This record gives sequence, structure tokens and C-alpha cells, in this order.
Amino acid sequence: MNEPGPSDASLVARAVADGDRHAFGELVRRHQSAIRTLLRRLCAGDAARADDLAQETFLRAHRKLGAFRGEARFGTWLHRVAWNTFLSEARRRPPAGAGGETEPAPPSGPDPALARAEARLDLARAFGVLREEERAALALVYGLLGQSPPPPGQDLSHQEAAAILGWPLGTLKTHVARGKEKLRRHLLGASEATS
Amino acid sequence: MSRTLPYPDPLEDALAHPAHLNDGGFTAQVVDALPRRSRARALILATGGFASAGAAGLVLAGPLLPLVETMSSGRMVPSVSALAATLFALMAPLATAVIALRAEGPLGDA
Repeated sequence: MNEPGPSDASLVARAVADGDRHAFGELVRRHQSAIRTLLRRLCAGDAARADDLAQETFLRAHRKLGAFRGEARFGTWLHRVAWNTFLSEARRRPPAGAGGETEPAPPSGPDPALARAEARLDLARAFGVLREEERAALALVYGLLGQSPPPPGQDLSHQEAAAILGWPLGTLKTHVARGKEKLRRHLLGASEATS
Repeated sequence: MSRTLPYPDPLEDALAHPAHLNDGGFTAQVVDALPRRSRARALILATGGFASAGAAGLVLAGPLLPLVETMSSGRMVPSVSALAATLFALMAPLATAVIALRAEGPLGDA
């Protein structure tokens, strides 16, 4: 993240050494959008659940801040904390319907058909048509990509996402490709239905 | 939107450039939920732990001091050091509790 003012690393140092709540607050302000977006995608558009998990992510990050060594970007480390927070919560939740693929949560609105069409156009909700592995792969790869675009020809975000998920790089790329294809088909179907 | 598209594919672009989510009080909510002065609390608890351990040691050692003095000098004398040790053993936990309350306020304020 290219924010004006002190770097993430110096804010982390202040938060750890002095218990500076303002420094940590600045880190939250900088990264809240990326982390909430990541979790909304992982939660297939369930904004309330995603924001609860985002808050838990930052509280966990605060507790573990002393363990951040600065070997990775702070944003990358935060994505890892968010993924682990999501996993912990997902393990406690009752399993979704069999088959792994779920429809996006039905939206509420005066006209169910129109609301459904709008929801299908919403990308975070559209993640609901993906299998969990595809959702995780896409959410993390593009979430990390948003932290800072890699140099041309490098797929740093793929490598980081594979490391976070503990998958081989090839497996990750397979899930990304399949997920994108499903999203494309889903969104194309939605746009044809509304036109 | 006047944003340029670095990706020719609209799906790729939407995935890589999600709309920025307004903070909407999120940061303040997180900062409010942070534990307060956790480092100070840890220090006080550690200090209290050491003081209590020291006090327990003195309580156990206190009755032995007159015996040690008697054995070393060969005569029975009132042991000032034993009295001082017992007094400190009684006062140390109380002092620690007072310091903790003054520094922290009631425990569990996080």
C-alpha cells in the first residue's frame, strides 16, 4: 500500500514498542477495505459475517503483532491472519448443503426477480457459486494483488496465496482458472438474463 | 468512473480492483475493542507474581531464621530478621494489590 505518512513497518514498530493505539488504528484504517473485501468474497457476500470476521482479524493481529518480523509485507501478513480467522470460524459453523456449491444468499427486496438479478451481478455474492477452494484461491490471489501489483511477468500474489493456503502452486492456479471460468459463466448468464 | 483498466478482461479488472469500502466507523470499533494497557497489566502481574513468590519464600524461611542464628552463635537471641521477614511477607501481597488497582483501575476493563 502506498500511503502517505509513516510506513506500515514503522506503525507496527510504534504499536509494538509503545502500545500506540493510534498507530494501530492507522494500520486498521489503511487495510480495512482490503481485508473486508477479502472476507466478503470468502463469505460469498455475507457482509455482516465478513465484518465480524474482519474485526476479529484485526484483534488477532493486534495480539500477534510482536510476531510480525517484517519478512513479508504487512498487508500479506494480515491476509494470512484473515484467512486463518475465516478458517477457524468456518470449522465451527455447521456444514453447508452437500455438493460444495451453493447458490448466493437470496437478497431481500420488493421485487424478488429484480433483486436476484442485481445480486447475481454483485461480484462478492457471485463467489457463492464457487467451491470453497476456488473461492479461497480467487479471493486471496486478487486480494494480495491489490496490495501492490507485481512486476510484469511475476506472479508473486500466486506464490504468496499458495503459501498461505499451503497448496502447491499448480493446484492454486487450477482453482483460480476454474473459479474464474465459473464466475464468467455465472455473470454472463446474469447479464443476458437482465438484458 | 474514469479509472483506466489495466486488464482487458472486465472480470479480471473487477477482481483485482474491488470498490473501496468506506470505513464507516469500522476502525473506531476495532480500536475500542483493543485491550487497554495490556503491557502495563502484564508487567504488574509479573511483578505481583515475583513478589508473591518472594513472600511465600520468606514465610517458609522465617521460622528457620532463629534456628539458624541460634546454631551459628550458640545462644538464643530475639531474631529481628525473622520479625522483619514475617512483616514483609504479610505486607508484600497487599502492596502489590494496591499498586495494581491504582495503575489499572478495576480488572477486566478491556
